[in-house]
Amino acid sequence: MAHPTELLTPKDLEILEEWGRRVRREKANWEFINSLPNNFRKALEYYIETGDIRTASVKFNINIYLLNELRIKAGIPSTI
Amino acid sequence: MRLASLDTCFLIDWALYRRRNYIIKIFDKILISEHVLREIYSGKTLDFVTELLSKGFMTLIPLTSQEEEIARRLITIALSDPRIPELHETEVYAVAIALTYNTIIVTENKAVLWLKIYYPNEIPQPVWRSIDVLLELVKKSVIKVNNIEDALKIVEEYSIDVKHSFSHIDIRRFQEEVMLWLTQQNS
Amino acid sequence: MNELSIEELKAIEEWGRRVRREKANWEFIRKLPSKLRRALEYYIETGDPYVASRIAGLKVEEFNELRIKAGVPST
Repeated sequence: MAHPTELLTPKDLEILEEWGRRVRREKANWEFINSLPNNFRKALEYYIETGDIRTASVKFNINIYLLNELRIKAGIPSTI
Repeated sequence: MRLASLDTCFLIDWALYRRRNYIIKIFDKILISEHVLREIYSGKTLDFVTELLSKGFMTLIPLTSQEEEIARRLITIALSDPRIPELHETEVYAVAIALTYNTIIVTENKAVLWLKIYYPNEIPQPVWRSIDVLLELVKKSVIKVNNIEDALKIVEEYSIDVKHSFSHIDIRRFQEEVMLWLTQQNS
Repeated sequence: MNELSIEELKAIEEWGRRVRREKANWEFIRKLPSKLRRALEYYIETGDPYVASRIAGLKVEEFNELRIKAGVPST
């Protein structure tokens, strides 16, 4: 018996990237996101595009815990 | 003894889950670095982490030159391979702790996951995400399930609490593993 | 001095926890920001100033000053 993560292949990662981006874009509350100050908006847009909350928090200098709270408020699901 | 090294990417989601405390039933000890503590300063994640620390289920691990060396090596690999997303401090130290103390790595960080898949020799330890932890809660009967629908409800609960979407790939594999486990339980 | 037995160590731990809880200025502690409050609560529970200081994001000495302000004895 194996865990789902053990079974992931590079091909799966490609599929997950594309799927994740689509889901995050679709579920996001864009009205809320566009109402945010520039830095927060860009951080969320970056997250929607990449699914990488860590890099989003570092790039836009927002605490990762706070950014995660904002992600939830903005209706964006975490993926991968 | 089953140990886990957790990073912030996993903790900030898991702390929102209604059954978050069940994680202590599948690990004897959870290890975190100071970097994790620096990043959380309020809310459910802080409550969760301080509760586990005070009850002795979680331990703060000081970083030594050994972890620094491992971190440097992994960051170098990530920098040199354009397929690997940026690898940052908290996550790389979570992996370094796992390699030093032979623990499972529990993360939701892309860079760690990509590194594991493309460089399995560099990270021989298992890497788990939330879907794997939920599966383990089922397999260890921490959460009782009688059928696949019960198991999928657990995944749904997590998705709702954390605002997380699981991919069809992960759901399918989760289902297959649960079916196999249920069959073994019933035979 | 003889070594302490496990029972004695447990008794001392329990005594320490009780004393720290009783002497703490909870009114002061409740008004603090989450991180500092949680750090003091952790310290009251365990008596471990190092991890408590990490939770608070303070140096050990700074946390010690906070502990004193909060009326929590070291034990």
